[in-house]
Amino acid sequence: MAFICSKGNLDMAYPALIMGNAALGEGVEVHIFFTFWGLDIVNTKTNDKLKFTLSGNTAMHMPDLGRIKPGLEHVSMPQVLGNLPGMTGYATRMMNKQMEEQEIPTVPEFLDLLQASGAHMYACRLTYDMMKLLEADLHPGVEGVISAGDFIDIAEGAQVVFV
Amino acid sequence: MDTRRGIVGGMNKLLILGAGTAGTMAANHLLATLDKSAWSITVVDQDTEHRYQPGYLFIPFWMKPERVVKDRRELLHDGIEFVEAGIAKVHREEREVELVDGRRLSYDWLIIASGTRPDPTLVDGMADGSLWRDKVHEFYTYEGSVALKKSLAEFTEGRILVHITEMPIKCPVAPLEFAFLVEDHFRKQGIRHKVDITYVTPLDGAFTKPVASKELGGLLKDRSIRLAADFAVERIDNEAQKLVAYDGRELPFDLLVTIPPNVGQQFVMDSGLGNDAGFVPVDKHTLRSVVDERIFVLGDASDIPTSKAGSVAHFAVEEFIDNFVAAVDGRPLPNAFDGHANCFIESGRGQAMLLDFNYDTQPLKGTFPVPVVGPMTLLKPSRANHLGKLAFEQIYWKMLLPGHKLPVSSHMSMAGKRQPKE
Amino acid sequence: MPTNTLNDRTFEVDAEGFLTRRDDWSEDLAADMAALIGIDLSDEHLAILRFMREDSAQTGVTPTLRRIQTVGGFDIKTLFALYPGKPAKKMAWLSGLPKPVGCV
Repeated sequence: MAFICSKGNLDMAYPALIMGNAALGEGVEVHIFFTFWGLDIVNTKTNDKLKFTLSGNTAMHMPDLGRIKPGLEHVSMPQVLGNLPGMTGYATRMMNKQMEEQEIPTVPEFLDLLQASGAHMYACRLTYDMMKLLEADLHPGVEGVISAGDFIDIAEGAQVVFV
Repeated sequence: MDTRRGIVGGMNKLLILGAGTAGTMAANHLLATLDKSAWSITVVDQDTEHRYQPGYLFIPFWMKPERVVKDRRELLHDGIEFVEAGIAKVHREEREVELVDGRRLSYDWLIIASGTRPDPTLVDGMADGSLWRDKVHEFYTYEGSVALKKSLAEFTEGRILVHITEMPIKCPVAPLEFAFLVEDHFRKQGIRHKVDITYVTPLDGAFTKPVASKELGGLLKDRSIRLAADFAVERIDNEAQKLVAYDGRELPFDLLVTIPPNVGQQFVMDSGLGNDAGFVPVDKHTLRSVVDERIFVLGDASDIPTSKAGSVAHFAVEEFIDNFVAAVDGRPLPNAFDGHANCFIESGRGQAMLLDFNYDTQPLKGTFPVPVVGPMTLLKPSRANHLGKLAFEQIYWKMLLPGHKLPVSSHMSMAGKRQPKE
Repeated sequence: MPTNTLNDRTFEVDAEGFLTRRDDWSEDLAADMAALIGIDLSDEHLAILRFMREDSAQTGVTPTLRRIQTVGGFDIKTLFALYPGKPAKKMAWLSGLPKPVGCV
């Protein structure tokens, strides 16, 4: 299976990591290509502080609100709330807490896990150069900085999941 | 055992080999201490240029090379004789020192302050390689740091290795400082992302003592500098531009900044006074030669197990003066040097760290020299430390070398230091 | 200081497991410690440790690889063959001497 991770939000980092891990568990070969803000996931300077924002997330609703008034847990939060100061920090802490309760590892730990399980991870050459990243900062599980074309070759015939 | 007292009729001759930091300080201190009518003080060095060696670190980046040089003769007080000549051999039995030009100088007491020098011939492919002073550099000599300045200015892209061949080396933190400064240099130029920096050490990490490694262990990672530890270099492959270790590891480079093995001077080895690396074995508390009571060793030339650094020489000289007077009188030596060292570590980004330690106490956290108030912080980067390091240049020329007292005890003080919790 | 016990022998160690008291060391202890890191301590191994202890008794510091070669006469390649990976650290640990350190 091949994954392309193009987003650096906390909630956009997890899907590929979780699915990739599940695929490895099923004995499937896994290749992950990190591009654009997805590079933040494998950059050790940023991957321990990925953020979750309300803005742009129209589906955002909170299970805890159901305690205040039944039904409220299914109502999506008004977009404008995301513009309030401190909201991103609050939402990020909430999400990290919920992840922890589900015993889902943090992003850096998840990468260690994927590396140990044999996932192949790559950084996108174009965006890596564009963002002036340093090889020394990449998670050691990243095998190389390769072009999109290289990844297409690697992923040929595989099921490709774009996140 | 020689029963003659040091002071006998006529002039007593004190001979000092080396007019560097330790030799100059000792000469000036002793001139003020000893009875001028009974003593002559002679200092020998192979040239007349005294170099401010901490400046070597900055020459590749911004310091004007000529700024680190002064005339040795001007730094020695009037009344001290200076002889410009290479030293060939010490004849202990005759109490004579043979110079390269064939002259012989006799002495009653001898101080060896000839320091240490990098010897790049000890590693295969270093001094004898085609890349020496081109892509393989050192900054432990004046010539080396000037040559490195040129290579660094032309460097725009590629891999840089900052490498220590083997301990002990002079100023053991200098390579780390260089790594921080070179990182800063390329960051300021906006091409940091094109430069890959690796710190290569034979030890098991950049920071090897418990408290320092706990406090500063993350600093390399923070600066995106890679670490290659436990790297025992076998040779430099000039053709392939690789540093090769005994265990088979190979590190490619476009610029290698290495610290060659540091050894004592040739005359020390030729005189049978040195150990395998040319350092003179001494009692670590009195700095007196273990084989000849008429010989003391100051500065980097001895084998004492502490940093080879100017601060050590400075603290040691202060302890030594009373000991020397006592030795001349035939009394027991009153002072015991504790190995006190005090070093600024440039950490880049306009900051520096400060270390204060001795034979028995590892570098700890805290403030210096005054508890709580500081103004300098131990084991933590700060602006005040950086300014302290820059200010030290003037202190060196105007206070240390002439032999003025500094408001810092030559014995290490625990005031202001915090002990790690067990 | 913490202490370790190995096959009924108790010895004081530092935070990284290096012996802190010179006299706690014995060749039997070294052999038992060596087994822990997968080394079967032969006379060839021991000869190096003996040299290191004698040397450090005089100098007060753990000899470097270079010194073990130039003074002790053991080829560095041999050291790597006998104590693979990190000979400097392994040999210091097994000879009951301090870990080789810089000034920080």
